[in-house]
Amino acid sequence: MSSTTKFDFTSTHKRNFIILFVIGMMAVLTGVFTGQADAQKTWANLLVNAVFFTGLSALAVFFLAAHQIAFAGWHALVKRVPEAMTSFLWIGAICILVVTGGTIGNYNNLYHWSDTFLIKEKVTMAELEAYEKEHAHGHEMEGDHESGEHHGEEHSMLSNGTVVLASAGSEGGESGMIDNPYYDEILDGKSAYLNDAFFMTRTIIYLVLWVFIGYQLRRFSIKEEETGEKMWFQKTRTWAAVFLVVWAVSSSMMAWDWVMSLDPHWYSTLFGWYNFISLWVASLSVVILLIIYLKRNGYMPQTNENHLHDLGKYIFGFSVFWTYLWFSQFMLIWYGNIPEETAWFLERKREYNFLFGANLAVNFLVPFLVLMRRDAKRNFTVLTVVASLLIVFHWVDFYLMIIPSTVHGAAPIGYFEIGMALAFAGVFLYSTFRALSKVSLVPQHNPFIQESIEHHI
Amino acid sequence: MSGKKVLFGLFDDEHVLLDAVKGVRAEGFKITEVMTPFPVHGLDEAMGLRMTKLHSAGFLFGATGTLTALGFITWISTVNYPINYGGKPYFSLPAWIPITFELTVLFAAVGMTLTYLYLNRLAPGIKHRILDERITSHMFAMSFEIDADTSDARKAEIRKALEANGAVEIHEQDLD
Repeated sequence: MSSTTKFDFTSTHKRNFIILFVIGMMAVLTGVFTGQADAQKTWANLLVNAVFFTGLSALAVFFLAAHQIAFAGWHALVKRVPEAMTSFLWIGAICILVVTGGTIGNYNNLYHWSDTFLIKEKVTMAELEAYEKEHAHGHEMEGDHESGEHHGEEHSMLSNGTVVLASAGSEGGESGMIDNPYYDEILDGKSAYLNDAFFMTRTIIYLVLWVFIGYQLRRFSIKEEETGEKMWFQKTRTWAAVFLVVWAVSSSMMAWDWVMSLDPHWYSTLFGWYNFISLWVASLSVVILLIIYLKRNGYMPQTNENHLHDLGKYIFGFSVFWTYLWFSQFMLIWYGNIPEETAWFLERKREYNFLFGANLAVNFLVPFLVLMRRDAKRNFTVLTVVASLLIVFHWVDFYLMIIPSTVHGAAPIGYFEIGMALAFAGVFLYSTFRALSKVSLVPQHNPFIQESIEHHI
Repeated sequence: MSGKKVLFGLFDDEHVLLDAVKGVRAEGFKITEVMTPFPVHGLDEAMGLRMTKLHSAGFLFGATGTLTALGFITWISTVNYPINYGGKPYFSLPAWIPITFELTVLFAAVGMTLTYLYLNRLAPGIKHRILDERITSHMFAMSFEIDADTSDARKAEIRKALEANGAVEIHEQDLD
């Protein structure tokens, strides 16, 4: 097999990925039509997978940018794999836009803060009545339950009419304005940042920048392969530097916006890094699995256990870092014991105790204990098992961050949730493998290719 | 006076040295030591050295640190002198993790450093013989242990192998 070999994207691959997608969609549709999954649950799961798979792809851009800037010679042989993973980015971006746009357009109710009624201190009788009528059903799922800050909750214990009359009686002033019993001071305080227009603007900015830079890095790399000119390498450097700056800001902000603001009363200052590293470990695991798959099928003969050893060190090290962040977040909240903060963990401990523990156990102990030895990081079978587990359990990590905040009450992972993830995986793999087949798997004109071939650790 | 001696060849190029190590070993000679002014990739494999056990020692030191910390805090906080801090249970694992982590790192780091020094016979006051000062800057040495009883024929064989594999100089030195 020569070094210019392209990946052969056979009809078997296509068929398998389409089957994966179809099976997933069937599970999703079954869930929707049997009523197993209501609208809120469907949207919430869409958000889990949109964030997770977009993240896998965005972190592939980060992989390329970081190694490019660091002049990391060793990665030249494997860079086609993350490059191919970036091809899913625009699809993921559309999914994110659909979900977030769905909230802004009031098609779903994921982001509680997007309800502007909650931040009006005074409302008219008519507005209040209209609001209560609209929210007569499913009011339950809207309020946060633990933080104790909720006028909405006290109110919902009484019959709607009683409270309205009481407020009207005591407060009804000149202009017919009354105190809004649903007024949420915390949301009002955050409304300069958490409002529909600014939220959507930010979301669009991150996604456009990621997709654009990801596309540029891929395009330059292909140009470099076709023309053999070094100028494309220089251009890649410029855009890689731009991406790292963009990413430094947008990685944290996307986590606040898309995930943390689902619980607008709660906050954690390291949430952005936590999300970033969770996705980073998962994305590196995908890179490892794809390389091992390609190698097992006879591609990339020059990529060897030295390169996988380095990738194995990454998932070992960043899993420990992930744990550090997990623990820092948990310990401070546990120690402080402030209801506003503990609410987030209580909700997860109460309904998802097993997954909550499994998330920490698998994402920390498995890579830590299994990958500690040098031999383990150089063994393809061990890496395959660990990387697969990490992908699944970092998905679970996102499930645990998003679902309890949106679908209140227990929502165990069933066929519906798995189906949705499989459908996404099908599209992700189809797009990635298709991109792999476009250009030689070995970037022959990369200035570092020889260094990468001789890489030895 | 144990009569220990060393016969060594000097090389002026790392690639020649690497091939020479393979060549000399293929001819059946047992190399005692190879000295280089900087790390040479692939030398360990070429010399057939086994992987260092320093990592395993590090793991054991670390595990000792973990157990020491957890055991000691548990004993203090639940048996010896239980104090109620902010309504937390006496056995408050999350609060102990930072200390446990620190002690794990401390034990592993100090333990591995001492093990390393011991394995390399490094300590203040210990004098190490340098075969030739040039191996600290630009030359590479491949040495063979011999003693006063080693026959001249054997020495000649080693010299021949060294020469054939590109040694630029060959010397003999007493180790005592």
